[in-house]
Amino acid sequence: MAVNYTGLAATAERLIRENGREVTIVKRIETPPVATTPWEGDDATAETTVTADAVFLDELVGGISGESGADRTWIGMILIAADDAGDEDLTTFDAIRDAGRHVELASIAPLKPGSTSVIYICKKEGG
Amino acid sequence: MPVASRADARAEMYDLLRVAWAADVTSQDIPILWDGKKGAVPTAGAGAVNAPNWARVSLKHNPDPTGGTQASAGADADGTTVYDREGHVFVQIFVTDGKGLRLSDDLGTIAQKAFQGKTTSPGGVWFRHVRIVEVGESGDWYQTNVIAEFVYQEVT
Repeated sequence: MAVNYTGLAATAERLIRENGREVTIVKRIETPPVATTPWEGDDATAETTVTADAVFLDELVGGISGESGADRTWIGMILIAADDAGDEDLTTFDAIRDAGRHVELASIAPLKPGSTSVIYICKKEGG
Repeated sequence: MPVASRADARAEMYDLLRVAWAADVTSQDIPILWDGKKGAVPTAGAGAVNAPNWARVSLKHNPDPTGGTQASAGADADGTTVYDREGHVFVQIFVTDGKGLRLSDDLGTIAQKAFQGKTTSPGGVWFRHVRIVEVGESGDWYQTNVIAEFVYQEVT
């Protein structure tokens, strides 16, 4: 039986809307240097932004031995409904702005078991 | 002919290196980080064996509390005065360490020839004591510096 990924994507979007908050996803566009004067220019950067709902959570990795939990490692993750991306490929984006907080992303990848993207999974730089 | 500004002199000097670097197949694919521009030092990446080759270029005028030696006897009829300016161009060359020094020598020679015996146009910046200095191991690279003393006149 074929899995209804479109339905899963809709469910993911609903859950993220209900439990998440609005953020801005940012892609920086570097201005390439002028070939004949690469030492000049202001390196000004333009931005492409996408507004999306996101859920922030911590993923536990490594062992959970011991009572104190001192050896546990947590990696910050952010989940974004794929539908919010619109026509943009979010894998090319660099950062998230969340209520004045700026979060650099170490990675951003779609959960895409078939031809339908369900969610984007982002990992924060530095965990 | 004196240059009109420090920025013009810098552009003429940097352009000598840019042209020479781009003209040689040995150097043309090796990135240059220009002083004052943002740019990350190339990294090998986790587990990589070879650190990418790269170069960094900077230019420093000699400190002169008088603002430069006055080269003209006084202001010309148009109110301008000519001053002598001096300083150094530094080209730092970083090649993958542990693979011998041929590439380091060749890149140093390209940079040296970019300035040695040259005079820029139209500003007339000229160079002396253009030399290659082997620095040695520097992190993942072997570093070689090329240092050129420059002299020009600026009209203000």
